[in-house]
Amino acid sequence: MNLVTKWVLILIGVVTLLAMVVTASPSKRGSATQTARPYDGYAAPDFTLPRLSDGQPVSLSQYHGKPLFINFWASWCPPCNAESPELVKAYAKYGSKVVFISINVTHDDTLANVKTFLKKYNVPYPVLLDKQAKVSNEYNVLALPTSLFVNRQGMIVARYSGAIPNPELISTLQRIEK
Amino acid sequence: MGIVHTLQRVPSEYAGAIMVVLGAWIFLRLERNQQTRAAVSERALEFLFTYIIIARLSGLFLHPGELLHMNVWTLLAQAPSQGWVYGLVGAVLIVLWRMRIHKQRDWPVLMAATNASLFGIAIWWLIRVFIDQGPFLVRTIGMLLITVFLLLFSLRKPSTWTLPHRIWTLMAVALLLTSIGLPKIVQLGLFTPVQWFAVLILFAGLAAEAALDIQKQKDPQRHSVPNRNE
Repeated sequence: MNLVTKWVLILIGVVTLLAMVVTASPSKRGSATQTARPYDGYAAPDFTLPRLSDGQPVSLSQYHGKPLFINFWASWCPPCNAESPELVKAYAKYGSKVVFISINVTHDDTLANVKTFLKKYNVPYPVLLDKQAKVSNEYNVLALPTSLFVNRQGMIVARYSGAIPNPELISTLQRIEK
Repeated sequence: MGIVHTLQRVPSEYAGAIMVVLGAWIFLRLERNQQTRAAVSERALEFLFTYIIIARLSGLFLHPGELLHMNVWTLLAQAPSQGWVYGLVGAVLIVLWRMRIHKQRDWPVLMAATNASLFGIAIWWLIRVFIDQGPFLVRTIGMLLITVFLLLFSLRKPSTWTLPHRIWTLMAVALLLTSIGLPKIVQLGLFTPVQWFAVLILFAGLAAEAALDIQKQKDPQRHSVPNRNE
């Protein structure tokens, strides 16, 4: 095979390959798989937890079709304290478009400290209590804070362990609210 | 249980790099040429450390404004979600540069590095078979089979066809093809970050092939048949 034929074939192959990758499965864009797992690309597992303010049970499934920001935290955790002012600011800007679900890992915390924390940072979004650490275990929360972003299709598009850099918080909220 | 719990806290992108390098290191024990084995082992460790440092600290370069109003230790505890891309690209470039200054960029070293990497990558895909589900599992099994096939193909009787850049080009093609059925979690322009990484490898491999063709045209005696057993 001479060089010209070789490179023409390579060129055709590369163009075909890239065209296939760009155009294939457009319907799958942004859709979750049917499998529920607490990681990127999977559907967010459903859960039900009591709300701190009134004790009423809140389920993830009731927010079907809405973009979600889920944040696991504890009052004693320094990065949770560090990121809270940024989360409150982000809620003021995106709270009408994205549902903020704040989950306190109450199993490792105390209600008195939780209330002090919420007062200190003027947390305006609802807080759910994970008293038995059932949900944090199901979500494999190994470090606090852990945050997940879920798009309208119910797919987890980002998962962070540790405080989220503010530019990433804003850009990911903008991405899921579309 | 304590060790398992601690190990679980290692982010998957670092665990992946550690497993690949560990697999490569084990594979290198089979390398007969001691000089080649030592050279590739050194570069493998450099790759691992450079990857982890760049992936971990890329947030400092990506979001320098954060330094102004956040505790530096909190910032160091954060890793950007796409840090692995910067880590991989940076580590590969630094290892290639280190090979150049140590005059190690010859066929036997590059081939040994490629085979060892393929072995490490195959181990990583094998582990992921037990972790992934749904379309991710299909991709993982596909990549495992292709990686093992390429390794066996590369290890067979030395051939002038099985050159390192061609093996990596085929890996890039496989990555692109197996990515088609996956949900697009993060899209940067036309591709996802994994696809961009594969496109980068693909074009680097084609550039190396073009350079080889040009060299062959200029000096057929010197470059026609690179002997992998040199």
